[in-house]
Amino acid sequence: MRKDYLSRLSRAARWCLPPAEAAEVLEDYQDLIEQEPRSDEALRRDLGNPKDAVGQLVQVKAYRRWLAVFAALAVCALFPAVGPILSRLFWWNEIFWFTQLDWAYLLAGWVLSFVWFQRNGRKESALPRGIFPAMLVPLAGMVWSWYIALSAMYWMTELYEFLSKNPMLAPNLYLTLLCNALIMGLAGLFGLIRARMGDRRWRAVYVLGLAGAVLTMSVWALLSCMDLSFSDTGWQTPILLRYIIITLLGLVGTGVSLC
Amino acid sequence: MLKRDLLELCLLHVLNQGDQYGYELLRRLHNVFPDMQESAIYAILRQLCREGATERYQGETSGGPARKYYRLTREGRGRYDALLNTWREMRDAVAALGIQ
Repeated sequence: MRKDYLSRLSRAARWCLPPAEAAEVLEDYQDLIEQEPRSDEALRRDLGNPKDAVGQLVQVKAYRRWLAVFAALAVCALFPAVGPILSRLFWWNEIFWFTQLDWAYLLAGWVLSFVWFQRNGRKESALPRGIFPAMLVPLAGMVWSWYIALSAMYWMTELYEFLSKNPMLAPNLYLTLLCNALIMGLAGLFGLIRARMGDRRWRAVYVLGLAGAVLTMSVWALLSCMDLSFSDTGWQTPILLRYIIITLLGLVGTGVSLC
Repeated sequence: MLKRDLLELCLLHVLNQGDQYGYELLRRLHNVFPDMQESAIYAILRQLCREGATERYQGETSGGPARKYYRLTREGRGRYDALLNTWREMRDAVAALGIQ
């Protein structure tokens, strides 16, 4: 019970307070609880609900700043999946303007997460447990997006013919791409939350998920686009270059985050 | 003077008598104000720390886990004097009305 109270308090403190302050508060509460063993009910009566106890310590300005950063980073990671859905619902004829902003999502998420966690993050001596398995999710998604992108670029004519013969395949392919982007965005969000509540190196998962989601959105845009210039020779080069840079930014960002 | 200021004054007063172990400080105040949760008293103590009126340090131990102590800073002493004056003025004003 005491452990339950402390773990709830720990979650609330690590989310709401800056890392150094959260650590001090948790030390104090642990001390307070260990000095006088009490039942869970007594703890709640004397110390209050863990959320309320932390709520009294929150510095509103600093917490709001964190929430704003979190919202911006979450939008960067999730919009590549949500954007295409919204475009289908509301802007049927203008589905590409937001895919041209892929650099904006990537760079905004990349830079903001680095600056924020470098200044406000906590780093422990050992690498956080489970970080590598968590990175496998966006990595697998990126590999799959690359496979679709290369198939689309080098067998575009055959692909369109194949899709026209199998009309159900195209919507399913688009749907799978969007699901892939969403899963990577959610993986990024998971990394972001872990980076706030634990070791800042979890931002590696965020950066990888962000790059994967942006890459997948670009592949989706390529497949949805009706640009006839695709018949020119060498049209793949600039697109390929774009994908390579997105992937490299993701991988380099992941490596830097792990240091 | 609000209840919060009064609690602040009490915390500063206890610390003015000497450095205090965090747990004992909270228990002492909680015993005087049983309707106040320890978390609320702790929040005021943290606020005083953030504002530089008190500071926290690790005390010496003889084998057991390190204890965290709180002490008053120079700013804290100034704040204590200001709050004490406010309290005395208020007490005199209330007494002048015949309220004991």
